[in-house]
Amino acid sequence: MQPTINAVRCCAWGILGAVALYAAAAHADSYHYNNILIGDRAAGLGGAYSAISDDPSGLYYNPAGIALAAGASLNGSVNAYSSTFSEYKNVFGDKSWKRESSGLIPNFFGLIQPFAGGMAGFSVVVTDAVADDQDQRFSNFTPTGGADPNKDYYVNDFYINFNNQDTTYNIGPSFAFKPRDDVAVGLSLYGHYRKQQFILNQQVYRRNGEQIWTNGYFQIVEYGINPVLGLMWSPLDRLSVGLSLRKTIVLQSSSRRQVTNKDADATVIVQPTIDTSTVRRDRPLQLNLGSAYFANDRLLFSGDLTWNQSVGNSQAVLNFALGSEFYLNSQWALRAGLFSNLANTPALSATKTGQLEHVDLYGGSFSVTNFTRNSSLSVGVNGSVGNGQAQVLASGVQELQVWTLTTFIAASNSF
Amino acid sequence: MTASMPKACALLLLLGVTLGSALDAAAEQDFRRRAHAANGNEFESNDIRAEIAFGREVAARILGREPRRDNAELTRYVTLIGQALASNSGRSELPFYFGVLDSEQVNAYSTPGGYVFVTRGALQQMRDEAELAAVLAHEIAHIQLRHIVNAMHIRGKETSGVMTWMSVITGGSGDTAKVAFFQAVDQATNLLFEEGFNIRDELAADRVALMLLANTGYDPEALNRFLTRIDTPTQSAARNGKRTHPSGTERLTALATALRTQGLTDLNLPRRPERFASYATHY
Repeated sequence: MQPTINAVRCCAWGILGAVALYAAAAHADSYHYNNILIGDRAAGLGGAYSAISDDPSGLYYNPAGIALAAGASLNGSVNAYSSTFSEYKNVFGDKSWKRESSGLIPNFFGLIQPFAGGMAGFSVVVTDAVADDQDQRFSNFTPTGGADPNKDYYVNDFYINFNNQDTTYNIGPSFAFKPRDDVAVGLSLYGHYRKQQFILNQQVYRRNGEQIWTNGYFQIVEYGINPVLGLMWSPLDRLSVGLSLRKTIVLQSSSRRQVTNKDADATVIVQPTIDTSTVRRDRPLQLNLGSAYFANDRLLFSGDLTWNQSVGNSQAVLNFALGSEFYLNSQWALRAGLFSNLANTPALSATKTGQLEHVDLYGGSFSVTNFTRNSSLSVGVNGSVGNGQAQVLASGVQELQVWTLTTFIAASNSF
Repeated sequence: MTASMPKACALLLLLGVTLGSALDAAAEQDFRRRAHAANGNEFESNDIRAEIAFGREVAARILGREPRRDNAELTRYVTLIGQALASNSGRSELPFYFGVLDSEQVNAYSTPGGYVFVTRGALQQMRDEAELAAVLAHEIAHIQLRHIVNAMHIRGKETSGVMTWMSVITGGSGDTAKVAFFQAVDQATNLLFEEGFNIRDELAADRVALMLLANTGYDPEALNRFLTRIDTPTQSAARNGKRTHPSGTERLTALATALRTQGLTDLNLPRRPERFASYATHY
């Protein structure tokens, strides 16, 4: 069996569940596929970009689009400060777990320039970045939420320290060309690198004098490729249709799980249990279909549908994105968008155990861009919110609320 | 909202196919041009300097491929005609240079910044000075309309506040700009010798050339005559080998229409065949 976060959690359940206590939800965001909006213009448009894609961020969304770029040579970089707040409500009676993820993400860097009759490019993309953190103390409660202080399991103090770092990078070249005036095709061949480190520490001090401690550590490092094949078609003036197909293929994976604990009736700490694995994750095929209508040189509308295949325990997901761009004048442009980031996990059941959290997120985006002749500077914000369910204890289901907020600053330059 | 992607994709594709089948597939991509592109339509002194520097580099590439015909009399003659035309081009800020290339190819080239060349092979196909002026006027028109400048986005260094921020964020652009400059020179050279201007730019240059000819005092119908003469299968084949001036029925028809709509027919302006013939021994 491949050791995973869930395995860490299950192990904690196995140990703590025997005394009817706590486990930890693993909010690494492998449960969603649309966690970061890439690029400046695309982020402002809510990610509805596969039928536009005519600047460096097109290298990621739909590489065919770069063949239609206006600039002879163009680069762009985006830096984003991203925050996620998750609240698992009423975990212990009326007490909630709160987790926060925040960090500065070098979201995107890309460069395109004409080459061999087409357009070549190179980009570095952070496709996902999570830095979850939870440090909480809960006092004077019963694990079941009741209020009987005479029960043996009454808890005087419960400490939880949780940290999860999970970042995925895509780095690679692209090439696109126009076989016809109204058609462009392109390919990005990204190298895939992902590293996740997950640490969970829990200490329980019961009124009856028992002490429980468990510590879980998990790490996974993946290498692979992520080819993106794109097609752009302009069936008629002012309308563009974009199609992209991608799949991350994990070529090498190594993971390590370590669990250490001291049970309630034990007097010594049990030696750590260590598991390693080289089992490779299967990642979904992703199909992205979009269209954009360029009403005039000041206004456009775009929409995307992104389908992720069902793989393993992950369900198929269909996300949407809608965006619009409006130029106030030749120097200032506003962009806004709506998007979804749906969970690939099944809805939770009150009768099952070991379930993954399920939260469907819906969000919006807004950005302002100032243009000079050869450059642009954008600032923007995007955020999402959702209500769902999680199972952070050995049994039962908790309500989960998630908010995300990302601010970004981006620059592009043509020569 | 999970699954059911095939249905959604089918709907979007159906929309595209239905709309697409309604019109010819050869849609232009100009609709992608955004309003901020208008920011580049105003040219400043540093843009002119960049244009001249760029054009000089491309001109050097041309002379590297096809050497200049070193004949002072001929060069002076072509230059006099060219300067007269250029004075009506509205690009008085450019120091125009004219030269003859020692090539049998029937062709002419111009680069940004005012560098214009005509081949010896083209001169041999001409019958009068008006036809020489017509070819030069067409090339000057490419410069006047900034076809290469706009296609390659040749601009001077930007000094705005945003650019300063840009340099901080992107880590500066000095070496990158130099690389981009020489890549653009390569592209422009390729455009002149291999790809050619697009037909829209060619037709625009033809229309402007007609006005330049008339304003300078040459018969504007000379361009039509010259193009008709070189549009023989043999000449076309030779010229199409380098494809820089795609001519044909469409171009000649457009020229005839432009002459008529601009009121440039039957003006009886000079052709000066005798003076042109007096330089025949030089080419």
